[in-house]
Amino acid sequence: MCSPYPKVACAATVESIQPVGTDVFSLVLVRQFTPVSTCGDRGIIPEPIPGQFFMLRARPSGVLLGRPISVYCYDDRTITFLILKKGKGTSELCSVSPGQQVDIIGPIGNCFLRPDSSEIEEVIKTAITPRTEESAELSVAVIGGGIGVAPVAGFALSLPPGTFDFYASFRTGTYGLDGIAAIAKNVIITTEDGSFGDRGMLSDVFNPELYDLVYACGPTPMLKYIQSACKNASRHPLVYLSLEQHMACGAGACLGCTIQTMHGNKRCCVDGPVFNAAEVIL
Amino acid sequence: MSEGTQNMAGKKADLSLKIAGISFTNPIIAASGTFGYGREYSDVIDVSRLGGICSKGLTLEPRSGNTGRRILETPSGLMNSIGLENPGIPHFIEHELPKMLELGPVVIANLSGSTLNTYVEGARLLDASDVHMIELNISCPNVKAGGMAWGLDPKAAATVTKAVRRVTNKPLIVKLSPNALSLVKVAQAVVNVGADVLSLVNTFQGFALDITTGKPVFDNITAGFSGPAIKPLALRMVRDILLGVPQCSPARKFSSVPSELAIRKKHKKNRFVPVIGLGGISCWQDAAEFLMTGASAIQIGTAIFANPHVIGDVITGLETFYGRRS
Repeated sequence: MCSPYPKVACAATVESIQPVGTDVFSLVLVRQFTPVSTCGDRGIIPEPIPGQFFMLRARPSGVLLGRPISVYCYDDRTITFLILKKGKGTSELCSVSPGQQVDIIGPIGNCFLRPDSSEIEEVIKTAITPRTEESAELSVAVIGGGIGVAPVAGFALSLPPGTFDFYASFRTGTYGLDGIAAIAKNVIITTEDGSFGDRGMLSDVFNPELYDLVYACGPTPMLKYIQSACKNASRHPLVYLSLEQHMACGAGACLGCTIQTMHGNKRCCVDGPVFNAAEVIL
Repeated sequence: MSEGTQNMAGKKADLSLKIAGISFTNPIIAASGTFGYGREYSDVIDVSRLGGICSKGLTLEPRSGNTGRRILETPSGLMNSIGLENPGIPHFIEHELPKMLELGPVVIANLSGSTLNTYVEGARLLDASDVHMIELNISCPNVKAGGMAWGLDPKAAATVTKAVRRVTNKPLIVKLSPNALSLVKVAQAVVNVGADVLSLVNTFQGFALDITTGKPVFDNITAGFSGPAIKPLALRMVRDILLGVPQCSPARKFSSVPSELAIRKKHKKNRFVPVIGLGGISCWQDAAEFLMTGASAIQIGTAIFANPHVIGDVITGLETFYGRRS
């Protein structure tokens, strides 16, 4: 397990907002924040770990709750999110202006376990089908579908160059792939309308027999496909899925975002959002 | 009454009070189901500033809650269909309560159940624990058996309150459902059989339909409705209780002077049953409105989700507001 950094609840300043795809916007927030409430502190938004997310709400806002948005990337000064304009809350977030403030709570949740982490080594060692001896290195696939590309792209960029294949599937056009081509072993892109890469869907290009370790985030039908394809593959890749759920608190308090697993209900916000595919019931 | 204390930063009121013999540093309580067991928020805010914390709704046996979608935001409101997911009272007492007691605020266990027996057995276990108060939940709208069914009818409400009262000496809050046909009658019935405090309102029962599928949004069909949208309804109901139940006279400490209600009501010789108001409170002004109407304390719930700092803001806001008035 990754140890989560302490969360903050504060208002962050918008550095920039720009469209990067159809109804998809890149929102850059400044990490340094000033107090916005009688209790808030001046400070800096903690460094997120790839896979974590924030609850975001524009200020002012006509909605009640923040929306869970994954971190795309960050540096010392800023954090960048990719936001799909879907409903009221995300529409507001896609319409902010530089200098405006956004209410944030985060970073929230667990993270993707890195291929070289001791936890992964442990799981692989005890896996039902041990790896063949000839491949000392794990064969890794990182998969993003639609807006789900944001957290996995951020994660992929933190991995050593040439150690993974990157799959990205979109309806039309692409986004969120900056820097991926330079670092991935192979980049495989599909679009449903053929506007970029191969025409089709992930299932047309993905072969689970090629991998020991798979990371994915995307629409539930795609995650279901990955879960079952990998389960049925003779190589039995270890699969981590980043899940999405309607959320209220993002603190693990309301139990509104539970995910059913083999070990009972888990909270998507703080027990996840990343789960072992062998454990979740999608 | 010395309500105000002078300090260097300006005049800040002392908000401390006693409810049913229990000392609170202030009248701000985190509402059940919105604050977990307290620690969930301790990395974001100073939880110790709260007057009290109500636990997530607890049942004797563990419950996995409702299937399907559980949360739906509406204009200025929130529908939830959690369904009392909780680890069971024995687990709560062993694993959650000790840490909850370390947080500082008054610890209130929210007790729910299905049958009368599960309420009573749950109350017995809580009575033997170190929990400070019990909030009897006869108002959860999201479970098929029990919950709100006990809170809609004065007789049923009195039956469960009396049975729980018999097995515990802990101060007993009864949390009322706004869905009762006659809330005043339910309130009077539970007061008559030994409720020490009333809290209201729990969520309103709502319904939502998914027009793309033609099916209800929630597997449990109906769901509990909370948030700023319900505040005027909740406040009206608090006022109804203060007017209609003789024992529930307005608390003097925070009410308007003279209270709008106090002047209407004759002095009662009855024991005093404080009312804790909740429903859509999102800022200190909302809290002051409940307190000035005559509530002894208030609970904050849904508003915490969007802004956990609302708790500190409300406390500071009330300290300043009452400091200025004293």
